Amino acid sequence: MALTLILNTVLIPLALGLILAALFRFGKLQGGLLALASMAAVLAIYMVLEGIPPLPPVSSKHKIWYIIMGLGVVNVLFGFKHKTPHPILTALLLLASFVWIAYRKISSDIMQPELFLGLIPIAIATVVANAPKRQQQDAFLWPVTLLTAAVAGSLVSVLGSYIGLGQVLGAIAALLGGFLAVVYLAEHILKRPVSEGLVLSSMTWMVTSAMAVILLSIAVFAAKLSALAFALVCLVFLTPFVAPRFIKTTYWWRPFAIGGIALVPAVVAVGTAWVSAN
Amino acid sequence: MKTLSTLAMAAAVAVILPTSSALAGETYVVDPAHAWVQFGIGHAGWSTARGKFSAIEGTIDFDKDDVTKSSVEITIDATSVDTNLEARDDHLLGPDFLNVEEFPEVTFNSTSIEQTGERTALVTGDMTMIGATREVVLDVTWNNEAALPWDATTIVSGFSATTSFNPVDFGMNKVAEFGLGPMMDVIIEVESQKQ
Repeated sequence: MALTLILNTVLIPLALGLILAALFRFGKLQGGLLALASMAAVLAIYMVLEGIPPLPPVSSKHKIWYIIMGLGVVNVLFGFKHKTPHPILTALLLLASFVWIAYRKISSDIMQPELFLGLIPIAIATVVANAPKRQQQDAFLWPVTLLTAAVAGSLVSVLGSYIGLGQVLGAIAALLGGFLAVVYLAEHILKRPVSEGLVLSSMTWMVTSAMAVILLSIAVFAAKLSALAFALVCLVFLTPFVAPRFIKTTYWWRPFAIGGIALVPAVVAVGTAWVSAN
Repeated sequence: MKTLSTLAMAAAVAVILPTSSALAGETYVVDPAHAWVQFGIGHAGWSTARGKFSAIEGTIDFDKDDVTKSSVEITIDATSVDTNLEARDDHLLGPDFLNVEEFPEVTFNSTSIEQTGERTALVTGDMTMIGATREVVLDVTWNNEAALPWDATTIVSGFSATTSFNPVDFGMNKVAEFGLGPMMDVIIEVESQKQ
């Protein structure tokens, strides 16, 4: 049981992250292909943890898998044009996903607080999609931020009694961990700097959008979610807008410094969720 | 006398599960104050984890002349699950298991009844849980029918039923990850009042 848990939540996603980074860093993967590989990795993680959903999907959990697939297809199409989906398109896609996932709840009472909470990840993903391209192409800024948000979101979800999607976020963290390990190795150990191409923004958009869908689902359905802790997790996504003001260095410790800043809201979020759950 | 018992048993069977044929017999309504649905599922080989649902409703159409024409409809309020630990119940209510926000009820509707003994029958029906409908067979025993001691006008019939199914068949994939299963055993005890 424990071995299966570690294999599905950590080892398989970690391996996928290593492969993804190797394709990106050493395979010279272009935007569209990296978008495709990112989508495949996230879908594989979801499938390993939640099984293959039925078609048509029955529950919100099933719908997430198909939504990620749909978002991925859009991202791939833009990736081959060396672009990422426009922020307005991003917001519309995520809003449509939100309505599909939560329509039973929306139809019963649209004024439920958790529905408003679920809109926060959509706003965040829209902001991320609107982030400067140079920032999005930073080899560490977004992956470190997303890794920290995934870990914090995972713990907050588990403490909010939604263990399943908490596991998925944990696995996405492992995926990003594997990715970062290879990129760090290339950048700081092998001294082969990652070129600033357009490719990384495709992955950033894919992972951020997938996480937004998972987070909004957690907001709507987690039985004991701390709303404050959830909002703090969403704040982690804003790290790339803050960190560059304080971190100018390109030395080996830059990723750790970014992580340190991202950890501030993340730790407060997990602490808040812990207090709320106990 | 034997024939009477057989018919009564058949009627009891009909009470527990709903069928589409209908309403040829007498109608019984499940008394929520005297209805219990308990479940047990293996926990990593250490023990059998047990819980119950405390909110049950149902209607039984009991045809004592031909029990196979009887029917049963049972509805369980999924939010009433109780496993003796609030934190575990919170998790069970969530999308990993019962997903009560999206699917607040578990229902059973009988589709056919096979008499197996004087007071026993197999009641086959469609059970719907977390949005998935699967066929389940209840092994039903009709226990007794009698008037309330303090009210001769109220006739009560009581039934016991058992069944077993794999929650994964309903899409509850997380059971194995938590060391549960594979089969969930269910015990149903209901008293129903003749209308």
